[in-house]
Amino acid sequence: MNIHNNNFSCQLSHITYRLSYYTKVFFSTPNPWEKMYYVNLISNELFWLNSLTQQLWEYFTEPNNTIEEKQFTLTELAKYTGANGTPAYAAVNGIVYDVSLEETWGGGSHFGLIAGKDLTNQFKSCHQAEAILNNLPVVGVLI
Amino acid sequence: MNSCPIAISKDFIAKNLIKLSLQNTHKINLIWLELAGCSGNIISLLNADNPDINYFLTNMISLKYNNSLMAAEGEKAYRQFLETLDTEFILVIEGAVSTKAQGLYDVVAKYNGQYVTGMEAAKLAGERAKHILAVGTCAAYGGISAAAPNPSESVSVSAFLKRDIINVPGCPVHPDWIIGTIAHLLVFGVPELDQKNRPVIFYSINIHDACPRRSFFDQRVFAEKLGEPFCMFKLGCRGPVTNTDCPIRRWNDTDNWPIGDNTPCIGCAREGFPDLMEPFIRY
Ligand code: HEM
Ligand code: SF4
Repeated sequence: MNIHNNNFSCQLSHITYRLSYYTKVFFSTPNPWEKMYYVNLISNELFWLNSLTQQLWEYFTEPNNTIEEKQFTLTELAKYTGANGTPAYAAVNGIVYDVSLEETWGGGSHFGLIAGKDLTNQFKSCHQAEAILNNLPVVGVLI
Repeated sequence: MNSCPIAISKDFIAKNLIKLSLQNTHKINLIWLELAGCSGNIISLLNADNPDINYFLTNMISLKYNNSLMAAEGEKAYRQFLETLDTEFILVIEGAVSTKAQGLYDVVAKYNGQYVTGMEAAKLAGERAKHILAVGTCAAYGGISAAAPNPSESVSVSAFLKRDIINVPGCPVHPDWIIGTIAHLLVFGVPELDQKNRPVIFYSINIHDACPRRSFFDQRVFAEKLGEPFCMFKLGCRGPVTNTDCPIRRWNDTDNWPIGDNTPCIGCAREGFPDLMEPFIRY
């Protein structure tokens, strides 16, 4: 299997799409039978997700298989502002972090800052401890 | 026959507590000074319930000066303010202190043909008051009055007076937070305060932690537009950075509050509101 293959990421995004849809319906319906139905569908998706992870695991345990770091230009980074359902990314010291689910970054904004930019200087002027960055998922590097 | 003393006294706990709180207290004078603000906090106070404003005014304090509620006008009103300064009183300030042009951007009275600025009145009363409450976000942190570009050079009460002040922020402040703090002052003295001098009893709860939509956040079920009954984090909810007991106390006699009414929290009781809490909504 080639994980750079489009098919792989296509499958993955379909699964995540369906998962988020099923979860939403699960929470919106008051009907317990319907809830059970969606739990069933969710566990099906989890089965497929599991098999994809298995494939990934096999791929990475092979020698010589590595994945390239995703590289961002500033223009590319500017697409990820957290608006319109996009993820919210922010760069500090050349590393691009995902702040989409960071609780203090509601709607991709944080104390007057908007995601999608290199915020190294702003970060340094506000946060002494670089340690808080360790909890954020890294999505790539800035070039 | 039930001989357990606790079981017998149980029926009287509430009554005893009320008695306990009323004993040894006398109605203290109160000056409610409005500086650079919008009167939102005094209006919010009128919406108090249990105890309501009548109980507050008749049994707890003796309101000597407030531009919105008092009957006297003009010099007569201001004279009442000056007379109260010689007594023991609590000073409540709402609105920020506007400092530009010696405070002339905010005039609170005209006395003997002279303008009395809010800055002067705050200084006069601030030096003599027994306790000072900075009520509302403008008084506590500068808030909207001090928002960029701050044309009136407004500052918070604590930045201006440089003495111990109890901050009761909120835009507006919840009536219970004011009456509760004053009740505590009357009965037990200064309540326990946090690092930002806010009473811990009202400001120790993080909105996001007590939010009824928290399970949606944990399950990553987010509202994509206003009106959807899910977590409003992706729309820019400021619940995670704001500490008040809104989710459990709620407003308008325990009914409404922003997230319960389908709009995201805008962090109105937080330092940095409104500039640092913007944008209030994001798609
Ligand atoms: C890319 C730039 C930035 C990143 C990645 C970032 C990240 C974070 C993270 C992860 C937290 C949560 C920390 C924790 O709870 O342990 C946080 C909190 C905070 N950040 Fe930032 N930050 C950035 C820039 C700024 C700037 C420029 C400011 C000032 C305007 C700021 C002000 C704050 C404040 C005040 C908190 C504390 C929130 C609270 O009271 O709970 N941050 N930040
Ligand atoms: S609506 Fe706001 S406060 Fe409530 S869970 Fe979502 S982010 Fe937290």
